Parts: sequence; structure tokens; C-alpha cells
Amino acid sequence: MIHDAKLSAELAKTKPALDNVSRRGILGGAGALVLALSLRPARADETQTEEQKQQKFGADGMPHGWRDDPKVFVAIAPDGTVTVTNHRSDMGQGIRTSVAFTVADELEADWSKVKVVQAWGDETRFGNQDTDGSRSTRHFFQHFRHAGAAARLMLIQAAAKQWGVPVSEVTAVNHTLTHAKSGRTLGYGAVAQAAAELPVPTDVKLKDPKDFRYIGTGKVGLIDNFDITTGKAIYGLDTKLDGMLYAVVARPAVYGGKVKSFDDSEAKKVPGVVKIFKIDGGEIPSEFMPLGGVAVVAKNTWSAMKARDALKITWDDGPNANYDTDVFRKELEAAARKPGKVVRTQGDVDGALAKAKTKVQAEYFVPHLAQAPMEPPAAVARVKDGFCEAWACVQGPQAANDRLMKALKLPDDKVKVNVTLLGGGFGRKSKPDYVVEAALCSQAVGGAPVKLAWTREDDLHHGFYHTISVEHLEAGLDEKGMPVAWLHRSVAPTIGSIFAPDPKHELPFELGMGLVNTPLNIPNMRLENPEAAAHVRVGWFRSVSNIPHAFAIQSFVSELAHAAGREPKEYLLELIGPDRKISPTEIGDVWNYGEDPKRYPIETGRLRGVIEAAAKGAGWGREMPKGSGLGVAGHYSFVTYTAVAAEVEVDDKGQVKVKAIDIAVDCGPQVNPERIRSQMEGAVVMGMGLALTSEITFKQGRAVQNNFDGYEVLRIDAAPKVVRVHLVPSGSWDGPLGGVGEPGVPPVAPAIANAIFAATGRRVRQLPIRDQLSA
Amino acid sequence: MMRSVLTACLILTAAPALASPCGDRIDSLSKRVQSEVSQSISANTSGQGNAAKRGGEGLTGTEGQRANESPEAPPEKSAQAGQGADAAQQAKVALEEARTADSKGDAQGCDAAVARAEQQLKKAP
Repeated sequence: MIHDAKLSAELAKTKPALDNVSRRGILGGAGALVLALSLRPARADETQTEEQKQQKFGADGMPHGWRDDPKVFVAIAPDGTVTVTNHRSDMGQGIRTSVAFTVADELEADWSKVKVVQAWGDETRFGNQDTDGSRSTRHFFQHFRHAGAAARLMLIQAAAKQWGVPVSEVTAVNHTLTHAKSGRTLGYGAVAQAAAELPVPTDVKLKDPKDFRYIGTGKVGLIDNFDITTGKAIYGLDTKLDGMLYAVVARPAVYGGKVKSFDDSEAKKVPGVVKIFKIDGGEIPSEFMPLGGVAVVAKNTWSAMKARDALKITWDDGPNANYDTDVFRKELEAAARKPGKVVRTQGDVDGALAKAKTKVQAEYFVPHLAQAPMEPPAAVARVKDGFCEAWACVQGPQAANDRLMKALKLPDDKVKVNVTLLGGGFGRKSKPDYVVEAALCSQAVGGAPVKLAWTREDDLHHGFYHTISVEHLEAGLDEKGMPVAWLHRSVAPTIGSIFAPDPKHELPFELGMGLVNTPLNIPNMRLENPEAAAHVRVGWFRSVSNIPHAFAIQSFVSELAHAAGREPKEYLLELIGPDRKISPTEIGDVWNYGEDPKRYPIETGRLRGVIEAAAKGAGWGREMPKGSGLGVAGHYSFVTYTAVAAEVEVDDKGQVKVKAIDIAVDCGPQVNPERIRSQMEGAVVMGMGLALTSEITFKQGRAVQNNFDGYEVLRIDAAPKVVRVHLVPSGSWDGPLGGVGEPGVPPVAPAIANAIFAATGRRVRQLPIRDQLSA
Repeated sequence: MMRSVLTACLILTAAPALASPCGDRIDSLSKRVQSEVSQSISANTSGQGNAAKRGGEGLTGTEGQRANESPEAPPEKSAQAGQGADAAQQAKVALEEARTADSKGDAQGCDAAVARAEQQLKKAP
């Protein structure tokens, strides 16, 4: 039995006790008896074979891997309340719910008695916490099942011991332990104390999936829904501590810019200003560290912002002072028209192109994008007595922890990062520069807690932007109109440029997002990656490089179908070819989303399946009125298959209205169908935004767009009235899990572009579409 | 002509071996390249952030901001991993170029491409 006080003391040995990390508190009330929280190391490495140790995939290969220890993740109070600790950041995808009900299902817990609390950043304790790459359920579902099942067995063992009966005669069903022969029953809370003293069993039997009561049902609502919808949930901006100050930072407008000098005499006159100081920065590559600038700490955010406005800063704009995206686009186009580094080849493309009956060529452009989460970056930090504690909306708390250690020169046990809910993330909140800024501000004012807020303008001006890209494609068609040669040059600044000085090529993980692993059945194919330099901080944006690759490839296939005089969906399916499994090792994909190439080949039948499902949902083949059209696109990303069929209407003025979207997804076993639907719907909206309106441009090194008036995400009047999500059943819980958070985005834009072509005969080759058709 | 007939027979019997000396070299190298690709997937597992860090350093041959090295990027998954992934991918490209050259009867081109593949494999950690 571990009481709160003892638990707190135990935790204090490694990290100070939690406070304010969750509205509910980590243990759900004083006096709770808990099953929880030994500091036992994970069994992950103990159970692996030598071969498995040599090559690690999925969660096994992530830093700090995974944990499934119920003493880390499960607590049971005397009243039977089950508290599940979720170590993944929740940015609206609902992972807190999925983790909790996965544990609860295997635990045979009554869902009404289950709570969830958020883990702080501590990967040694909880396993990997980088919430990116559409990996949370994919990597941790089985491990949370094990944690729940192990806890259930411990409760059974404890009850059996108390009754003096064999373990095999005790059952655990819906929060009740029963010995049928004697008719005795116990609640979970009654034996939690005894169970906590038992060793964690190693031989755990998971439930038969047919007995799942929550997993896969699609009937479990968000566990945080009430708090979120009533404003009680705590996001990064909501954290409030006694004596807290507020800060904003004036950052260099150009990546690599530095403060030459500043005059804060007027700023200091603003009532409420406490401290103004320079933050070092301006290094290229920036990594995840702050850009530098001048920080203003004040008694309230308004004062801080007014004082920032009053600062007179002289900047050295640095090497990117002339960055202009219009000019840069031409550089990318020029690069795309010349041979580049070959990243995949098969057959004789040049020979086949020379002999082809018909040749088709096209270029596609996708601009910079900003993740623009509804909640901009925000963090609270307190650096006092040699200890830093932060509260922040971060996708990677360990990453924040590590950067705080570096910035403050503190050891790991003197830094702690608490994770709030995230009001959207989309990749931006994987980079914790704002947490470091908050800590530097607290340090500068002598240890008072400081809330560091980014305005919308800050977010759009100083982001980690989606790259800018040109895709050049050429194909040669035979007499039947099918491609015998395919050349694709993808040119874009790489995310690697924030880590290393001036890399010119995209990295394997970027190339593996829909380029190198193009699953088309074409005998002669060459994929190239010409050079491109980065002039801004390039970062991950939901689905990352899949966006330009899918837009180009799926649009180009439609163009080829037209050139061949073929129906586009049938043409696409024929080009994907017969059902087969393509091993990533056979095509030189050295990324494969980090997954085992044997367990995760590309299955073309599944890609065909989602295309058929989306098209069927849209009523593909029906007669469309004048000015309306259907378009389809399919894509494989994050080891999941998605397809979109879009119905658009283009009026006489060239204004595009997306009337309906059908999106089909095959992500393998569906752990939380309700959330899969939600993710697909969200991806449709985000994908439509980047297709229709969103774009970040640069002039003189500076982002031009300031707020949502210039950087338009999809608005409610532009959203389709109908979004139908089609979940393609897996058929087996033994199948490999796919990602869900990101794969819905890539096929949206090309499906819309293809629909516009069907409606008007006009081809869209650059995003966003905006008013292109009105010209 | 003889080569074409032989190639057709090989395809019909789904035999992986090629009939030329260079084809034999391709065949013997093919499994190793695939193994290196698989190894690269494994080495690059650990999330997009670490893959980007290692990849960037691997491409530029720099240590990047080594001061930022942290438990997030375990020592065994350093810039070498990024370099290894690029090398494995380039080895695969070279091997396919060799295969194409061999199918055209271009023994010299095939040998050169195989040599490039072997060179790339030497770069792998």
C-alpha cells in the first residue's frame, strides 16, 4: 500500500511532487490507496531476443522505447476509482481517451469509474513521449493492453489470496471480482492495496478481442469532453501560478537575424513593466532553440505587448535578409528542370521516354504553410533555487526538458516539464523554443513564474514552416495510354536544415513520404531530388512531405488519364496495378516510418480498396451538372491508406465550392473508430484550407501574413456540407496498426484539383487555388 | 538475341540470378543492399526529430549542434545513422542502374554501377 505522502516522497527523489499539472490532480484525492508508481525499469529490453535487439522498429526503436508496467500507468483508489496515466500529448486527437479505455478494457474496469491524468515529461519512466508521426496508438496500443491486463491479473491474484482459493477460480468483470463457487464478490478498490504489493506478472493473457467492451466499439466519448466544452480544461495558455508575471518576446523577423542594439527607454515607461532583456540567439541552424530577440516581462500580457511595441530595436537581418518566395520559386523551378540526385530508379527511363508514343510533362507548386494551431505556443516556467519547472502545451516534453537543461545549464533531475492539453499542435509544438523563452524570462526576474505567450502574429512570423516545393513530372505513354516511363523530380528545402548547416537535399524520411515509396506499377521509373537551400526554419506540418508529393502524383495521374482519354479512377487503379505487397527494402525506402519492412510492406490492394470506397461513397460515375465535377485521389502515408473523392462546383466567376467530401481510410485495426472519424474530418478541413486558401509568403526575409485575415485557414462557410468518412474494416486485430492523425490530409488537395478539372477542364497545378480560376 | 531469350527464360522461371558476370555481382549484392536498407530503417527509427537531426548531419558530414545531443538522440543513433541511410539508398540506386545496364548488355556500365553500389555500402556504418 502506498499512501499519498509516501508516494510524494518517493517521487521527490527523482522529481519534485506535481502541482498544478492537472485540474484533477494526479491521484484523485488525498488518502487514495494506489496500485501505482514503482520506479521499476521497463521489461522491454529484458524480453527481446538478440535479433530483435539488433534491429529495432516502431516503438522499440524510439528513444526510451515503451513501458507497460501497470505500476507506472494504473492507480486504483479505495472507492474503486481507476486513474490511468497517459504519457502522450493530447492536441485534440483524443489520445487521453484511447489510452484510458484501452487500459480499462483489459482491466475490465467500469468506464464510469475511470479517470485519466497526464504524465509529466520523463521518458525514462513512461517511455517515449514524442507525440508526432501518427504513432501514439500505433506504437503503444499493445503495451497499454498489457498494462491493463497485468493489473487485472494482480487484482485477481490478490482476491484469490484473500479468499484462499485458486487464482483460476476468480474472475474480474466490470469492476467486480467474483469467486463463483462460493458466490463471493469484491470491488476493485477492496483489493487494490494488496494487489499493489504483488510483483507485476510476466505471463499476462490479453482479452479475446470479441470480448472488448470499449476498444473498437466507437461508442466511447472523449473523457475530457465535459471539461473541454465547459472551459474547464487546462491548456498551455490557461496555467496560472501565484505571483505569476507575463512575457512576450520581440524576435528577429528574418531567420538568422540578431539584435544589434536596442533602446528600451520608452518601453520601460509602460505601466507594469518589470524587466526588459536581450535573449541570445540568431544561430543557424537554430535547432529547437529560441530565435533570440528582446524579452519584455510585465505584470500582465497587455503591458508586455505595449512595451514590446515601444522597443526600438536595430536588427542585423543576417544571411536570409533577401529571401523572397516569388524569386525562390523560380530557383526551385530551375532546379527541378535539371537532373538531380537520384533517389530511386528502375529500368531505363530515358530510353522509354524516347520511344513513348505520347509525352506528358507538368510542374506543381506548394507554398510554405504555417501550422497555426488555434492555441498559439505558450508556456509557464519557474526557475528558482536551481530548479526549473515548466507547464506547457508541448508535443515532446522530453525535448523541452532537454532544451531547458541546455539553456539553463541544469542537470536532468533539476528540470521538470508538465504537459497541459494542447489547443492543436500539427507539428509546431514539437519544437519547444517557447518553453525555453519562458524559462529564460523567469530566470531573468529572479525566479518568479512567468507565462510566455505568443500572439497569432508571433506564430505566423516566427514559425517552423512547412517547406516550399516544386514537383516536376514527366511521363511517356504507350499506345494504350499507360505510362512506360515516369520521371519525378521533387525539390524542396529540408527539415534537416534546422539541425545541420546548409544541407541541400531532402532527407530519407522526407523522401519516404510519398516519393521513394510511390506504389505505381510502371516499368521505368526515376525519382530525383535536386538541391534546394533553406532560408526559413523548416519544420513538420501535419503529414509533412506527403502533401506536395501526393498533390503532384495524384494530379499528374489524372492528367495522364486525360491524355490517354481514359476514365481517371479506373486509370489510377490500373496504374497502381494488381494486388501485391511491395517491400520497402526492394524499392530503397530507408524510412518506412520507422516500421518493420516485413510487417509493414505497401499493400497495393489496400490502396485500391480505399480509392474504391471513397469513389463509391461519392456516387462515382453519376452524371454531374454543368460546372460540377468529381475528383479522386489516393495516398499511402504513416503506414495507412487513405483516399478522397471530392465533389466541387465552380461558378461562372471561377469560385470553387467543395460540396462534399468522401474520405476512406484503411488504418488496420480500428482502436477508436469515433476518433478515426474525427481525425479524418479534421484532416479534410485542414487539407481543404491548404488546397484553397493557406499560404505563407516571404519578402525581404519576412513572413508577409500577419493573422488569419492574410493566412486563411478554412472558414466555416467554405467547409463542405457533407463529409462522409468510410472506415475500411481490418478484419483482424492481429494486423499492423496504421497512423491516423496525419494520413487524411495528403489526398484532399489533389482530389479537389482533379474535381475542378472534371468540372471545368482547367488544371490546377499550384496551391492554394484561391482565385486562379477567375482569371 | 541470345541474351533476350535467356532473360525471358529467367523471368519465366522467376529465377533471381542473372546470366552475366555483372549480373552475378548484382545478385550477390542485392541481398546485402536490402539488408542495409532494412538496417537503415531500424537505425532511423526514433521519430522524425531524430531522423531529421541525424539525416541533416549525415548529409552535410557535420556534427551539427553536438551540444544539443541528448537522450532524445541516443549515441548509437548519431549522424552516422543518417549517413548510412543515404548510403543505403544510393547503393540501391546504383544497383538498379547496374541492372539496367546489364539488361542492355552494357557490361562496362554495369560494372561501374556495381562498383558505385559497393562504394556506397562501404560508407554504411
